[in-house]
Amino acid sequence: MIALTVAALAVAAALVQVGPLSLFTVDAIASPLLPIAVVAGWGVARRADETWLALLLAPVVFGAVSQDRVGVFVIALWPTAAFALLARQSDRDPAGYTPRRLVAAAAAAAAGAACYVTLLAVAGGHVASIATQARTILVAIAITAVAATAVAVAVWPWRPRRRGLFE
Amino acid sequence: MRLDERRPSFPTKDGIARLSAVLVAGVVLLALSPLPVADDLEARAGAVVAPAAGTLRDVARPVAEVVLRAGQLRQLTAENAGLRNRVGRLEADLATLREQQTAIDQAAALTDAVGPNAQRFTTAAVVLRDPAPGRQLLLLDRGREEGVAIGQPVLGSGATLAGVVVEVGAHRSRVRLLIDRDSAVAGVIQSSRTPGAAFGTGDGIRLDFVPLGAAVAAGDHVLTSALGGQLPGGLLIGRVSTVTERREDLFATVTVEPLADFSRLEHVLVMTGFTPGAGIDEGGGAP
Repeated sequence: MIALTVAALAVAAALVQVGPLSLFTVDAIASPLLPIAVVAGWGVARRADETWLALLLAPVVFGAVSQDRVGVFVIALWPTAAFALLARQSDRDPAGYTPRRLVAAAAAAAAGAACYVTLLAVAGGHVASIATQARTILVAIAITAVAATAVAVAVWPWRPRRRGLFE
Repeated sequence: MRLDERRPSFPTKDGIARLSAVLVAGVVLLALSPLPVADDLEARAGAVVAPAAGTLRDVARPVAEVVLRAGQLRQLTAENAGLRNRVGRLEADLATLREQQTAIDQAAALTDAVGPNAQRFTTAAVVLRDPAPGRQLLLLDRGREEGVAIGQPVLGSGATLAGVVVEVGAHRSRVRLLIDRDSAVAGVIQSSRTPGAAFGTGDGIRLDFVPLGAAVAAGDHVLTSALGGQLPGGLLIGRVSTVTERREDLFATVTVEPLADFSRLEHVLVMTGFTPGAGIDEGGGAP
């Protein structure tokens, strides 16, 4: 059920990215990578493994409208969950310290977005474009990190918490 | 709302295994992607995703208009885009007139390459842009059933060449824009008839294989060449913006500014009457 919830959020984010968001941006690189923000924000605020279905379904949206295949997008999106997992592993306190957790979400999203762009560039044979469009990519990564922080804040009320004896 | 708060807050071995399985699934999907059934499944998914995303896009369009036109800078940008389109149209007209003059001498060769149905077009709406970073491809709402075929030229605003059809479905097709890094078309500088190859650079066009000392200057128009029969000759590609010549190089570095604003394309014309390579095939290897 939880995996379905995250998957629905991620698919909606992917649809927004290929649909309305393209009206505001002139280049796919320059836009925030919304499914990455959802996976990183949710994965750090709650649990990274709850995003497994999102990692499979969001790429279907991208693969359906892109020349790249669904499998490429699955592999490109996966590191974000791995970074969220690592960030979560390093902070085992269920209650968590809020600012630290939010920074972790931003860091996981930034690292995940960097991997996403790099892997897709490699798959498309456009590795050189990373250097030439570095500034645009960095802006996109920064926006994605901010979006992931917003997702983590939104999910925060439903984070796993240490339960008292009589709760 | 309570979301399973009794579970441990950090991933268990099951959780890690689940994420690992996703990675394996991704690799398997990638390995299976050359199979025809993968194309079919992705086409079916596209038939659902494209209308959904298109609807969302249409709903958001009024908001986008307000946001993009907010403030003087946005207004100037819009006016600039309009003027660029107008200049593009005028330059296309001018180029056409000049080309007609040149065509008196080269009409036979160009007509053969263009083919008898070159004037047949179909209008297509741009449904979506490719979301993969670095790719400059458009998804159109016309496909095989509407006469679209791989290799057909696609014209943007001002009737300038925007790209070439690279994939075709029943009612969808994918267009590689001239600025895409994998785009390469045969071109010719209109004033000097110097041939070259127009490659996409991701955000612009570069004309390669122009010999050092060739008569080319900023402002010259670059047109498609019928050489090879892959495109009809005389379509406007863009305008030369810079020419750099270094002694140690064999060729000059020529950058070409597209006259169409590819980021704002909403409707395009597909030259459905053109069959790539038809002239060559029919010629049976003529000298």
